Amino acid sequence: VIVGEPIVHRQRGGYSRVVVPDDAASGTLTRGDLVLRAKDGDHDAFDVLARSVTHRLYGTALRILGDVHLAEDAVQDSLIDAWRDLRALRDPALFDAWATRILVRHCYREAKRARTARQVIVTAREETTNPTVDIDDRDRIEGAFRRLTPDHRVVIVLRHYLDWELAEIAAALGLAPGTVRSRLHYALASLRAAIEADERATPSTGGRRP
Amino acid sequence: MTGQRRDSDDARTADVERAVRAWLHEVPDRPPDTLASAALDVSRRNSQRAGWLARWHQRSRGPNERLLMASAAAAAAVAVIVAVVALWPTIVGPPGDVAGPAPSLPATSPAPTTTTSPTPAAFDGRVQATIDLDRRATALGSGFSSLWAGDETGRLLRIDPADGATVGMIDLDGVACGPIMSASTSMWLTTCGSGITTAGAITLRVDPATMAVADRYEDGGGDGVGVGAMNGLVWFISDVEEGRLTAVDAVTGEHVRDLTIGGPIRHLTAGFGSLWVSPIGRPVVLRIDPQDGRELASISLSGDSGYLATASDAIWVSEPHQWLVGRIDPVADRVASEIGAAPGVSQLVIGSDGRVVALADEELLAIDRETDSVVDRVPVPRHVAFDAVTTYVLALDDGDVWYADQSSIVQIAPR
Repeated sequence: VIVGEPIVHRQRGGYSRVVVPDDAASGTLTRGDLVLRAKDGDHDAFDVLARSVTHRLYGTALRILGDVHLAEDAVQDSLIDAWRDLRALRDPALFDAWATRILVRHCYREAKRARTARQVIVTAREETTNPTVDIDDRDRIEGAFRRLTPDHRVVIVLRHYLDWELAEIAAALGLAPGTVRSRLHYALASLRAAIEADERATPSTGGRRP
Repeated sequence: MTGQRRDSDDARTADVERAVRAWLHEVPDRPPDTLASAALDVSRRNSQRAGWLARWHQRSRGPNERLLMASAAAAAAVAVIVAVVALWPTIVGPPGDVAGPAPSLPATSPAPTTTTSPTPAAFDGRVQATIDLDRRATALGSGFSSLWAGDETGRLLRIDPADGATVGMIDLDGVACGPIMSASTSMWLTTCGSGITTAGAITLRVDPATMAVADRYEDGGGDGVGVGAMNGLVWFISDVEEGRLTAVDAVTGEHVRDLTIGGPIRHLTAGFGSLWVSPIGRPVVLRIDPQDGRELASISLSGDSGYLATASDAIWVSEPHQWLVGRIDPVADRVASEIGAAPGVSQLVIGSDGRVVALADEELLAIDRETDSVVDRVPVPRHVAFDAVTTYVLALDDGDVWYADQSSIVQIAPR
């Protein structure tokens, strides 16, 4: 057992410690060690890895999909795929990004399967007469967010929930960083347009809508 | 005045950004305690190499059904292996519903092709021939009466589909990643770039007569995919983020002109006097004037546009997130039909007879253009080149459907 950096996983910009299995009690395995062990077929090592990312994957899926059951399915399928295809991962340091990429793929699938991701594409962005309209209405934000395309929801969640840098998102999604930047820009523009369209349709009364 | 409006817009967008960020962090997200355990229980019963078995587990729901399917799959795999060993060399490929004569692949074929290996039951017993590579395939194409396969070591192999022999090989400066396409007198392909992203990819022109790389276009590639040939020019995406298209002379490979569409684009095809591109993250296909880059039409789809292909009477587009394949009428500049396909449908190839074959995550689909319907589905193992990079491993050669299944190329008999 190689003693090294404690096993941690990133969550909402912070890090949480993960319990190391009994067979590694004589020392501390690095995350990279665990990935290498898992790639060699050590399911116990994969068990630790999987549990360390489950919360983050679930939180990500829940926000993208907006449904706990779909999110659970996406996470479970992702973990199964991760084990199955782990030998295809070249760089152990990229396990988190790789697992997230798998999760995103399953989120697309779950969204389509359940047809909960109704796509309302907002292409026209009209000028508002009052650009400082209060947008603290969470229902309104959630409603607008749910109307985004899956691509747009994904980049917003990775950037603003996981606090990933553009390069990290690019690596996870297999896109160039510039593409991620563009997609994020369009996603926020669409979100803003959707919020403004909702505001025009139902003027805010300062409280939550029924 | 314009500056003030822009400042106001920026402030408003920043407000939205802050608001959605706050909302995202408020969503309660404690996962069920058993969430990971359930998945791990399933994965523990599967080996890492048997990817198709794991997918069976994903599809099933109850534990009894999972066990039953696992047992059936294992028994089927053993049966296939035994049958292939027993009947070799009189047949090639697994036993079952083999349609048509099976080409003989002599064991003396030059390296790296050999003939072996049971094919996963996923192919539904419809394998006509198998050409094994000694490395994992990352890209596939056809042209000049040959199959062309890129592998993970950066080689481009030219293979005779009649006997599976490798008739030429080139060491590329990178791993072939996009589809390998014939256009004019050359084969064209894009490399993956470095790392797990596709940044830094290049486009290559390969002369099939000399089996040499004739031209390298350093700016070509990114994660853009597609080559279009039209009016003596070959077009490819040279800058994904800026939406730049580059035209080179189809014969000499010399640079002719660039067009900038503006905004990120990913897929390209040419036909009906126009260029057709898929902008990233937008549910449209743009029709572009190849002379000056003007947008001639914006064709709305149900979902984000994906892979594009040109047929004799239509432009076809995949919509991977909506599981659709769309047929665009180039006369009316509108979508004539959208056909329910399969999850992750991406690559499309058009046969000389107009037949459309689509590659989805775990299926090959044959689409009848007359009825706009899927007339055949063949389950295939999901192809993962490495790090889950999207791969384009489907090819039509003289009417035959070929699919690169990891380190082998499989000919599939469609119904």
